[in-house]
Amino acid sequence: MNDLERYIREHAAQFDTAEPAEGHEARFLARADNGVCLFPAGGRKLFRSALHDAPARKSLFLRPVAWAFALAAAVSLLLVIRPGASRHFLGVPDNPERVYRSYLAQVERAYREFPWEDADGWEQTLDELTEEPVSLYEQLPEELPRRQQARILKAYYGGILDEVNQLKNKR
Amino acid sequence: MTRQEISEFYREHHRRLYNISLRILRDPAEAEEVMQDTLLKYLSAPGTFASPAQVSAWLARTCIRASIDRLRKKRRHDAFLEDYALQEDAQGQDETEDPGPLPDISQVRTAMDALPEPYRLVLGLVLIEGLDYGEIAALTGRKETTLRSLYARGRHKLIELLKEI
Repeated sequence: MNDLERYIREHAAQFDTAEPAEGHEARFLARADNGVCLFPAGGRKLFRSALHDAPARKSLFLRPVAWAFALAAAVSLLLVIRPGASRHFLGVPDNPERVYRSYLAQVERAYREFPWEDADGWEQTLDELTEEPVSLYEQLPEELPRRQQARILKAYYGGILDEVNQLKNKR
Repeated sequence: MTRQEISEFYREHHRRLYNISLRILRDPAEAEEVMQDTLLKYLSAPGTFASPAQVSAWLARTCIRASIDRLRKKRRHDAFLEDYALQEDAQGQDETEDPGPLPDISQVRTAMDALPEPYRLVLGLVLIEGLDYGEIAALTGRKETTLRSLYARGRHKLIELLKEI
């Protein structure tokens, strides 16, 4: 690396000088108020909850046990609302790791089935449906019995796979 | 998170994300949309992070990825990469090339803005966003050798432009 490259790296923050057009913050807050989000339905629900149930986010993160039970309750509700979601995991034992591996395999298969004539649009939508900054599998509280962990994963990932199927059917 | 907290979160991160996206897309309206999508995605994500630095890193990566996806969707990105001598050997450029006396950072900004898109994109991702070639390859779906070639040629062009300023 020469001096110029080092110089640019050291002053990288000084390249962030542009500001969005006037009113950008108001436009963002309007989107936030409407819960507009381009990502999976589960995420939207959490976002709305985070927005309106102050100060939910901070206090829940400070109390992992409360978070664990809230998560379990939310996904149990999902099981009741969407009992068909776990059909994607027929034959998969109630083992969290096996469920997660099965989910990853199904997502990988969905990527392989790209309609190549519109690969970009399809890939982007699939990214948005399946992307997790931190997977639910990694976040599951250890306090929960493994069987319950597996059922939570089946319900949650089953819901995402439902949406992937809906996307495929729209082709 | 309350509305006030969301607003503070926005003010903390919007400028960096906007500039990241603007450097890639060069369209203020699109860059604002991608920046806001990125922040909304974080707010809607159930994930947790151990430190503010991790949050910042996640936001930057997500914003870069969304910007590149959008660029690719508009077919500008592919056209660009394919048009620029991808088979050329990156080693052909002299890495010890003397840039002369270091210029003012505003002059570097001007010179980088004047670079053709492929070089500007790769130089920006490496030097300003701090990504390595492997990360950029994963984001763009391009070979590391291609990216190294673009980087080497872009650096050469940047030095030439700075000599003219």
